[in-house]
Amino acid sequence: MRKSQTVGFSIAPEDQDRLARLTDVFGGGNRSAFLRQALDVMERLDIAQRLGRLQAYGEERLAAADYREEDIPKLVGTVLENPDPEAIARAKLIVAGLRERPRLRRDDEPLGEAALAFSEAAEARD
Amino acid sequence: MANVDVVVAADVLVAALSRVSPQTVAFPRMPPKTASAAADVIGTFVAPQDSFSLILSEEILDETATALVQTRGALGWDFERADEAITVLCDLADESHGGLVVPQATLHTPLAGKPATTALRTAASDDLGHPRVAVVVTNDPNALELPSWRPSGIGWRSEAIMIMGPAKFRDTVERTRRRLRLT
Repeated sequence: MRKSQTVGFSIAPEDQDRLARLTDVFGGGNRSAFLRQALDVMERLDIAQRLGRLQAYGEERLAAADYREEDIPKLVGTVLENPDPEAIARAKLIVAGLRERPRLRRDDEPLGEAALAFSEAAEARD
Repeated sequence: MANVDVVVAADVLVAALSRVSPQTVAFPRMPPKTASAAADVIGTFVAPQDSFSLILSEEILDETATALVQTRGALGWDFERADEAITVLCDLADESHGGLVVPQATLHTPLAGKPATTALRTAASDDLGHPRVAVVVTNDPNALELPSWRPSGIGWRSEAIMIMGPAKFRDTVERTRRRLRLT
């Protein structure tokens, strides 16, 4: 049964050529395929912007605690060796919020080109 | 076709969240090297390359959240910000065709029978299928003593898991992308 639905968009006359060109380039002429790609790109843009805001906050916290970035591995190790009960409880609460997320479960599948290239690149270094 | 499965340890995730890295989030340009190798590691998954999948587990995120929110001698993040950070990491994992997996329960490394770290057990998860190219990015000195690790006793059917620090991972990603552009 077909699950996708048709939705309407309005395109200004001056954008129609641009839409047709980008649809050809990224969707092989198929507007639905182009829209799927555009959604992926915008999803990543949203993540990048949220990550940037969190990094700004994280940098403030690092400075306020009088640490430097290179101190973090030791800092994390020390915290995890002897975490405060309150930190444990808060972390558990945060992770509990992930229970609804679907888990990744891959079937066996062949390796992609990048996976093979990465192995070669890692070996070349050593 | 399977991507490179990249498990990032909690200490690297915390470092990546503690440094503003405008280049990393200058979307959609491919992130260049910055002064923060940890931020570059995360930038690998932001760029729309579809070659590297971020693999996480509840245990890694629990460690990350604990390190972020602890106040005594640590960073003292607000609960809401730490919650948002964990959500962003999960969204990034999903978008990179990775996600949350269940780690192997108990495994040991050849290093005097030391138990495998959370990140190593996550990379050995049954959920990732075979064959796989898996890499663990960590600053843990014990884990880094093993440049690679083949889990034993669980029917492992892939090449050994690679273990590397953030800077080496970033450099290897760069070389991989260069190779892929040349072919």
